[in-house]
Amino acid sequence: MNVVDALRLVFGTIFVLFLPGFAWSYVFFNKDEIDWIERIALSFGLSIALVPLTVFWLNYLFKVKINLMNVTITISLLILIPLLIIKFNLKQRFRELKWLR
Amino acid sequence: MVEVNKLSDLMDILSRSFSQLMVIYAVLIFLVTLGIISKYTLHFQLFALILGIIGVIIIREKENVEFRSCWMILPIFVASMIRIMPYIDNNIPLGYDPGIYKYIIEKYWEGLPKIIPEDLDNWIKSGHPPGLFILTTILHLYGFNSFNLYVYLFIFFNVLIALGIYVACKEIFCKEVAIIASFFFSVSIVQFQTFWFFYYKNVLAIFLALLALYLLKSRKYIPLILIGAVVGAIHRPTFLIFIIAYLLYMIVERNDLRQKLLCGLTILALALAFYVPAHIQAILQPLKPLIELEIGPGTFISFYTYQYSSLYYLPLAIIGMMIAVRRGNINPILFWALITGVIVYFKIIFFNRFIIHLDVAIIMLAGAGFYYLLRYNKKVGMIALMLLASSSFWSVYKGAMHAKPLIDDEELSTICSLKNIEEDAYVMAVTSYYSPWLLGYSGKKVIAPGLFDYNRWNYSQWRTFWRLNDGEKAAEMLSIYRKPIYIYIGKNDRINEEKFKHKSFKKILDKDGMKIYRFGGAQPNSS
Repeated sequence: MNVVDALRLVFGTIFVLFLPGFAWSYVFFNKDEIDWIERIALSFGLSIALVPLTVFWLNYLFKVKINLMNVTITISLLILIPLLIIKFNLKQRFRELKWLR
Repeated sequence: MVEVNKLSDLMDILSRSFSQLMVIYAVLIFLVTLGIISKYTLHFQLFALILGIIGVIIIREKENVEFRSCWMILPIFVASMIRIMPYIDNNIPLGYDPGIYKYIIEKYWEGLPKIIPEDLDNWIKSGHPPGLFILTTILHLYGFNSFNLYVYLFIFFNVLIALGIYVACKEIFCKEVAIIASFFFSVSIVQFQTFWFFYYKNVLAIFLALLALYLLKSRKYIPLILIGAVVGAIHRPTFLIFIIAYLLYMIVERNDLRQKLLCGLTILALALAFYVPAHIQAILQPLKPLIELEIGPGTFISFYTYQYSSLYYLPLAIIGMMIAVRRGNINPILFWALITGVIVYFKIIFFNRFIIHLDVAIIMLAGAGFYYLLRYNKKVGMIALMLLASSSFWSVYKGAMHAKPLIDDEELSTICSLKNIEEDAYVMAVTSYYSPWLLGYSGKKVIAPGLFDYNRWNYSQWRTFWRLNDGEKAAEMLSIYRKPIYIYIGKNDRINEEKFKHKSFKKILDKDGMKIYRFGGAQPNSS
């Protein structure tokens, strides 16, 4: 394995398996609510759940083609949306969805 | 007054006996690990049970014990090291299943731009839910090849279970329990066996199920729905345990009953949706053998072997479980342990494979047991912890040192060379030992006993074929396939080869115990 391949794997792992969950973990858990180990575990867990779920539904329901470009846009949105939720202070509203009351 | 004194004397005797017995037990287990005494010298399971029962009676927390979070680096490091060791001078994946995973992973890639290919083999649809393969397909877009996916990523997912144990234990018990339990996971022989057997879906599903139980306990329902649903899309047996534990916990812990019910139903609906495009028979098909009680034990260590593999933490698990019950800490892990314990002990369904789940629960409860012991008597607790942890570490280290793949380089390259035979030819595995390897690495349609889509013989026909001397009869049996067949006989295959002397068969290869015979069609120009 050369350096470029290794970097690609590291980037792929972080981008697909860590960042989406990391961003969403701040929506579901406040900064001091959990420690750093829990944050890391949740980041991986949420990413492993969110990314396949979203890609599956986009492809199955909306017939979005699965290629590098579309998946990159999807994952980028999965990272961006929680950042917007945090930015516009919508966390509490998001956590207390009406049907779950 | 006299009775109170008698009780106090009895407790004092029990307390001293417990401390002494705990140290003796830890020393004996250490000696067993070093091979100085045999594990059959004593009924260690009984010893563990007695220790557990006395422990529950006398342990009262006195001292304060605190670990810093940075100690979590140790289990992460040990778990990674133990799992990397077999790959230091070896490029062949461990276990029986890598060929099967390689085949499915690549089949999903071929189906792009659809995330679930339409032309999946029936055996994939019925036995392999799409969750893991959707993820591996996405990672493939970012440069992961099949080797990265089934070696590096598999090691990574294995290590993640330590984090899963940490978060679940921290929520249910405390940080100290979480760190101890994570360490025992990293040195668990059973968990290393799971890695060796290459139970990929199982490993990933256990990590996610632990996170889901953590989210259930901490009442975070939205992430719980997401993670719970994906457990269902990855591994059905783990999902079954998770859902039953969820249900029992919901009945006992009635806070947010409506939310939990809605959340559970949403998890089921979302998980089911993954099966709709291609895998619907995966849900319907297991019902038949379940009704007819045809599901076997599953390939893994037996309960008998497990009793010896878990001696490093069994008494502490009993203590952890009983004290949690005594304190009213009724949590999802107790239900997880109870369900898997019942399945394994009473041999209900797939019982050997549920030992993996049972072991995870036992490790977590043992973490609690060690913590209570440390708080009761720090000195005895530390001696027991050090001796039992180092014994378990030594056992798993030896296991990792000697872990070898099921086939060698030479055999794998011979199997890979089958890619060069005629396009429409079949490859036949005469036993199940080589079937997954031929499937994953030959690039051809594989006929194997009782596996995949192309086998057209039942067990008795296979038995006839294995024992047959008559080449004429063997040729007649094989002629139903109507295409050339390359019969692979590996170093570990034992089959009567007399029949292959018949003119219908041509020996293509005979090297170091490996043989390939060609049957049918026009004979190729060269081998």
